[in-house]
Amino acid sequence: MNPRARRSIRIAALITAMVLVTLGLCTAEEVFRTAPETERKVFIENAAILDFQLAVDGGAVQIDGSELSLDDERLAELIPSSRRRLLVRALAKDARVDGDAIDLDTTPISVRNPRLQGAHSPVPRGRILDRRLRVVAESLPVPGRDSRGRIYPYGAAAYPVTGAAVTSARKQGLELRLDDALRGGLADHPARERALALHPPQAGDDVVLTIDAEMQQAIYRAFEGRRGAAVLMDVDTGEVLAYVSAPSWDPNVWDYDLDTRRPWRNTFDAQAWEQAGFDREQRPMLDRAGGESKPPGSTFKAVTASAWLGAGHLPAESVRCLGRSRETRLRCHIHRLDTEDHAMDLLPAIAESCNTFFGLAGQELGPSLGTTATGFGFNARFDLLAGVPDASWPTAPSFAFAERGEGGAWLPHDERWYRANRYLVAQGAIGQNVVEATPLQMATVTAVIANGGRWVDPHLVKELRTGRDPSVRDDHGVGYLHVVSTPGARVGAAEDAALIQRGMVMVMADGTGRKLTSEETADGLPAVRNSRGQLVSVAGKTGTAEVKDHEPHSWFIGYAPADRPRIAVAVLVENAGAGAEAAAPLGVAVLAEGVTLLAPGVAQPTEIAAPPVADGAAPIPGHPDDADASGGSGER
Amino acid sequence: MDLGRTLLRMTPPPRRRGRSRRVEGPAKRRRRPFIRRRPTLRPVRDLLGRFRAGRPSEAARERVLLAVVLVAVGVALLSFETAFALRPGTPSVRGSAPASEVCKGHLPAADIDCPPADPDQAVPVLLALDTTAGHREELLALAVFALSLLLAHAVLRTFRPRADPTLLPAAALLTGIGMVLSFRLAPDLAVHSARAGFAELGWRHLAFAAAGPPLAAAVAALAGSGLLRSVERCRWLLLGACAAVMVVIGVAGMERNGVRLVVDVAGVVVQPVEFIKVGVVVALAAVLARREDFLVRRRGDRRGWLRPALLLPVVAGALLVALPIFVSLDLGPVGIIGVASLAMIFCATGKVLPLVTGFAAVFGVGAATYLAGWPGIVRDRVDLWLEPFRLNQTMAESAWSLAAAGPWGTGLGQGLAYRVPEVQSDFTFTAWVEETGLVGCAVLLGALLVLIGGGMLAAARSRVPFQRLAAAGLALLVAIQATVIIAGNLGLLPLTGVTLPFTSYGGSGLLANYLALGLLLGISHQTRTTDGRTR
Repeated sequence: MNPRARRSIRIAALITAMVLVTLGLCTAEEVFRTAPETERKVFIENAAILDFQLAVDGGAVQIDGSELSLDDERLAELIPSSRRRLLVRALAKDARVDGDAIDLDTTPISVRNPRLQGAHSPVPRGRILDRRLRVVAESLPVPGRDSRGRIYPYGAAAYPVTGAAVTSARKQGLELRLDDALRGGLADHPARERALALHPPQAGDDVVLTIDAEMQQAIYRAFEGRRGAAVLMDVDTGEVLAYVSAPSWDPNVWDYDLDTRRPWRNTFDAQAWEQAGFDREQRPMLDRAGGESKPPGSTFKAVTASAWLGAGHLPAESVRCLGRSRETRLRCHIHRLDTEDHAMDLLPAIAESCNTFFGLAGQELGPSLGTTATGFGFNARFDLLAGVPDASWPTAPSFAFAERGEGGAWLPHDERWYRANRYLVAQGAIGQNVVEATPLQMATVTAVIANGGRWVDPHLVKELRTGRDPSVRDDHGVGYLHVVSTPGARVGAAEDAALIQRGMVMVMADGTGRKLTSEETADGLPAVRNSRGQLVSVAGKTGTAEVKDHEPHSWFIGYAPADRPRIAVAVLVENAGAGAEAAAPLGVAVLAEGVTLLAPGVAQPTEIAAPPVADGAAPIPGHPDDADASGGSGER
Repeated sequence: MDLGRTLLRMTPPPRRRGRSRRVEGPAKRRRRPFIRRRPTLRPVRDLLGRFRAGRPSEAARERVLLAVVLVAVGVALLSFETAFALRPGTPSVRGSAPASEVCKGHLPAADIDCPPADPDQAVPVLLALDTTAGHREELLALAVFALSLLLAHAVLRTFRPRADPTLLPAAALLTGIGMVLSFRLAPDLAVHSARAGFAELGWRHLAFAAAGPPLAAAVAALAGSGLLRSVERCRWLLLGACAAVMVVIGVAGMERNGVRLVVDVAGVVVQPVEFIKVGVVVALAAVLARREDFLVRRRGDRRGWLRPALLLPVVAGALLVALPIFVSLDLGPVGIIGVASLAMIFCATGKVLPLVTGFAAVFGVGAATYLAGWPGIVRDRVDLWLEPFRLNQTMAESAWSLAAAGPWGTGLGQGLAYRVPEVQSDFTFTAWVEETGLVGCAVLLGALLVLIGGGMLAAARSRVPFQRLAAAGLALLVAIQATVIIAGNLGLLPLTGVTLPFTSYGGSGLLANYLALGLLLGISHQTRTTDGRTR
């Protein structure tokens, strides 16, 4: 028996025990020492860009059209360090090919500790306030716990804007897009090590919306279970005053019980959630205002008219409208009106929504129609957070005379396409088949026409404020970022816009929308009376977008007051029949109630009732506003 | 719970006076003359010995310990279920969702083709935890685990009545911790990683956790001196078989996470390297035991010192197995086998020189592979270790997870450890410490210490060279593997994808650990005399 063996086994056992105890001490050190950091930013240094250049020169980067692929084996030969390879791979992932050049995204990559975010955090998350500083979302402390629950007082009505920041789901909507500001904590503190111990946690910043929450809720209620969306905008600044999508989803069910105001109660109804997910018809979680495009129908004729005038045509140029036209293959009902020679020029064509006129106009305009549409914001995405640095919230793109190119870009059709597809061009000119728009897009079009032809950026955020001091009541922080937006580049001439405005007034006076207004102002402009008894002159354009096998979508765009436009609206009610039936009454009511929104200090109505439509409430079937793109040209 | 109470009632009343009086014992004993200047395990052994050599029979002591372990595991299992119910907005319920929604990646579901052929097809998903089901699942799991321990206990005490009674409970505690974690992480993992397969993690863990203890008891029952002697005789065959299996894996194994370590045997994914570690340690113990007397100089032999020629077969044997593992590109097992064989050489010879040169060699091989950049995984892991916050979030998540713990932890069911990648197999320690804090860490390390200490004690007491070295080797294997992965979790060492012994999720790892435990129990039985005293 080897006498040393037993001793060496004892020594080994002792060493093992010491190692394990050391590990325990190290754990203690780890547990006590490091403060949980909210964020670390990884900076892409110049060396990585040089490495990327090396990979390109060495042939490890292949460019296939606009796609970029990496040859891992070749890369390993070129760059032996795996850390440097990781950076090259990260760069390649976000790189974009632009012709011969490659655009590299060198913004820092964030790595975040989730423990200081959301409901797990004792740090109060910033509030979301509406334009009159009403609370749209706030974090309330949970009794007996070191954390907070998120509450949304406007619930489902504001959900398309706020989204949700709750524990059991991913952050969505504005809560996701402005998380950096709302989250608060110590994200930008220079000394993050042990920062929690040395500095009190800092509340998240407040976000002030351009939305008027009461208006938003009133419009949402006015939808009464119908599917659709409405966007209300300030025509001069592009501030979105209401951004409604119906039906919607109440984010409070995830985190907070609205009725009892008791947090942490499990109010989640899995069955309702599941039904909502399967409901292909209602789709309550879909943002219909900016997240999905639909054929805009005759409301697109405003764009066609702008292109027509912009191309130098005179408003007096007329066409013969005989119902069916062989050139456009569109049906039109205007010929029933007994004009002398069936002549139709621009203003009556807008007022009566003449398909033949705009179909022929589109065919004559050709590519310049697509160019004008692009100028109005088609074929691109809007950024709802325009004006806020380091944040963006892209909407779904609207498209007109374009096809989806690589990388999600919309490529406008060239002249050949216009020559080869004359009937499609005619259909597109009246907003069918090759044209789709979000309500946000149509509201922007309306705002541009209403403000005299200048571009505005639609945006949702008015101001960012520092987090409020928890020790002071009604402390609204200090605004540190004010989004100021004025009309920008000219989209169309002011005279052209004025002409289209006249056409839109004629729509309400004696065109397709003549039954919507019951009174007149002293100037003879069509007007309605709002709940406060004010007489508001309105102008607008109805639209009926035909959908294959379903009722048409009902559209309305309009602005008020008609003589000095302040606000513009676009309303979509899905599968609800003609524009004048469903969307237009709602749109007119919104305009009537909304004109006071921009006046300071006026309380807003909480309900919107559609104004009484003059006798014969339902428009005649087969009304002129019947945009039939014949030949089974349904929704694309 | 009921079972635990029954077990407690079955236990004969311990003679508390006699035992408590002995608590003061070690202070007096310290003045005894046999205390030598060199370090010994005697104080520790005496502390444990109080319990080991006490009057209640070993079977009774094991029963008490097992009951304590079961109660602790049961409390932990039931506690997080309550915590779940208190959590904000814990929606629950398995449901179904349209395939198109699932393909957006926000919902956990089994693998489906994306984009889906039929967007409206209903796919089963896990919306979140089921807080309405109460404790039924956990109680069932606890009952299955208790039955498995009872079976193992019965078999062990029937065939090997004198085996160390602390080993099985310590292992059971570690496995219980792992099982609790799997049950606790399963729903969160399923929701977070959008894979519904994770929802069954707890049950899959339980299947192996329940199979382990009876396996250990069966191995212990079979591992009499006869079987051990024949294993010793077949040492080269065992080594060769291990090497051959490694070659097969290197050629035909499935690649996962950049390494080839798993094979698919009739639909079951097996990780043979876990068993090979045990096999290599046993075989090396046999090789060393045969040469033990020649490895060191004898008393009075002034020329004799450590003879490299005699060590060569050992080194050759280790290399025989380590080199094929190189082919599979994961150096974790290579390092562990290498360090374990060094530690065994030290146990056999008591020499520091081979230990130092060996460690230098291991470090040299590691540095060489890092600089050469092949296998790539070494460089990746070391880079990750040097700069934990760069690009790959794994180590940062682990550090944040630990930092959230504090002395008492966040409480089971309330941590966010499920965000750490591969938490169920590689970051068990992190997850456990985040939710139970330093207290949980102490319990886990304590159980490991008892287990390893028991194995080393069995080794120190054994008179048969092979059994002594095998016991020491197996205990050290557990110790090294635990050290490597815990240090990896803490960021002290580069992370290698090995499991926390007896704890982490992973069928092959658990069964291999219980195989080793069975051998330790068998050896420990043979170190004691029939009257229950140690020799």
